Amino acid sequence: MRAVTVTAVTTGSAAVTGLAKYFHVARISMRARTAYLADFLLGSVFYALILYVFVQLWSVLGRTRGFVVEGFGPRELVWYLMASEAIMLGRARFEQETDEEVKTGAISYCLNKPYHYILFKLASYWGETALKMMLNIVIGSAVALAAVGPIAVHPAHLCAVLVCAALALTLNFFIGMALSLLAFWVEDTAPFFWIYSKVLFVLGGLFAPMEVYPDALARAARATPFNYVLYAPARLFVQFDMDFFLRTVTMQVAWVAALAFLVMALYRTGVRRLDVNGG
Amino acid sequence: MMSTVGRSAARSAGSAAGFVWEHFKFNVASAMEYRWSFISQVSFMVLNDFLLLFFWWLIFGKVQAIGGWTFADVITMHAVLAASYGLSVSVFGNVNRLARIIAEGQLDYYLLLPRNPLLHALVSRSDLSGLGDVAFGLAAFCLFTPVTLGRLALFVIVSLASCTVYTCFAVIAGSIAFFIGNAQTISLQLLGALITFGGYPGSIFKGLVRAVLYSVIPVGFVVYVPVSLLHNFSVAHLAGLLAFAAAIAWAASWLFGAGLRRYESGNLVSARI
Repeated sequence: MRAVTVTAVTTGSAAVTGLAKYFHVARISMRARTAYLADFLLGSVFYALILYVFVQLWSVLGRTRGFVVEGFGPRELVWYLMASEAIMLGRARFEQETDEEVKTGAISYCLNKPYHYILFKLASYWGETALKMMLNIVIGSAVALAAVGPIAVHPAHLCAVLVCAALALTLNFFIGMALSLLAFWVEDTAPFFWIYSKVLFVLGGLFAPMEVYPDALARAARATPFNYVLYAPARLFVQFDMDFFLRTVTMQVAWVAALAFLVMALYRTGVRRLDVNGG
Repeated sequence: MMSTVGRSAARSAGSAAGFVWEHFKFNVASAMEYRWSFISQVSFMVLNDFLLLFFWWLIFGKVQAIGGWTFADVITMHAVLAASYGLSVSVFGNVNRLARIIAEGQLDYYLLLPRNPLLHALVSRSDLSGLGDVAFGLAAFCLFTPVTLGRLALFVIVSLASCTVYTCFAVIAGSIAFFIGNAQTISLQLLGALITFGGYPGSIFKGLVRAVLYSVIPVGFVVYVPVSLLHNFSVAHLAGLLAFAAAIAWAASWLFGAGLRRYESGNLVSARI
């Protein structure tokens, strides 16, 4: 009995130590971003700009005859965009770096390190993403408040939305990583990311909620994982609905698990193909 | 009869055009070594740009016009923006990286050679995904707007003028690095702002912002005036666009020259192979 307890404690301690190193990776990644604070803050100008442009667009459309979106007035549309763009622009961009590491063979230097490459990248991604998200939420809320005024959000609902947003960003990581790892097989993965960003734009509901879409297209978009990256958390932020929240979280967890499995399989297969020239 | 000065200017312009063309051909040939990369960059960029129209398709499914802009005007806007931007980055591939080149002291290489250092720095690289933008611009214009030979010729002329304005604005934004050092972020933000505003109908912006869009960030001359010309041709507007393109070209060249006098060589060791 004692031996079992000792083994369990040792295993638990090893797991905590194992996770602690990834926590430190995330912390270092976050601190690296704050080293050039002015540069980092200037990067948010684009986000504020997009919000400003859409405030103008929705206010013109709001005065245009025939433009009605079920459940969304100009104010809700602006806050929806604030949430969807906060996620879209809050994502750390790790893809190009991963693509380079695979193409140049630099990934081989990570193979003998005491961490798993994919988990290392996930931790690093989350360190930067958490910081960018915090900044985007502050800037986005300020712009949306100034432009259209507040919307009513219950604090408990806000916590639920944050859970949903965290899963959305993790889902985005695994989609991005799966595309990056294709660098083991193709010369250049950058075009996949242009298309992925546009797929998020179309099927993810970046600029407009799916209530604007024709029915058939909205149904098709809801069947893909992309709507769980942007549309679902943004809609929950503007119009919270417990059933929709539970359905969303369930689907997000399922997609994260499926894509994590795919990423690990791609990584294992890819690393076996790795061919590095010395020099 | 052409004066000596005129002949000399024409010879110099011809020589510069030949120089740009030779660099472009060389950069395309280099890119063709990685054929999949080249083909995928161009074709996926065309697809990427067509997907941009999706949002407007949704909106124009509900309304006839946005502040007087029809769906055809919005498609023309994206076509002009893509064609001019694509032409700029595919021919003058370092245009968006000028601030970095200056800040890192990489201009040294161009200063040692007997060519205009600004032109040489701009053309020594090509972003060939820009060819996908150009292809999209032409295809979208021909497929979705009423096209005639005259309108097509006008599209080419306004796109060239728009490309000149964009390229010169990027040179001005990049030249800030001569004066403040690390200007990469501010330069990219200015260019990003131009592209962002250029993707939405000009009629939704009013007052001070509209004035800024025709001066500090000249998106009006990159997109809105060309769209207005293609919607309703006016000789005065075309003359205004060409005059602005000439003025900004002179301003970019002057600012780069003024900055170059303050330039300090870097000590970053790098190899050009």
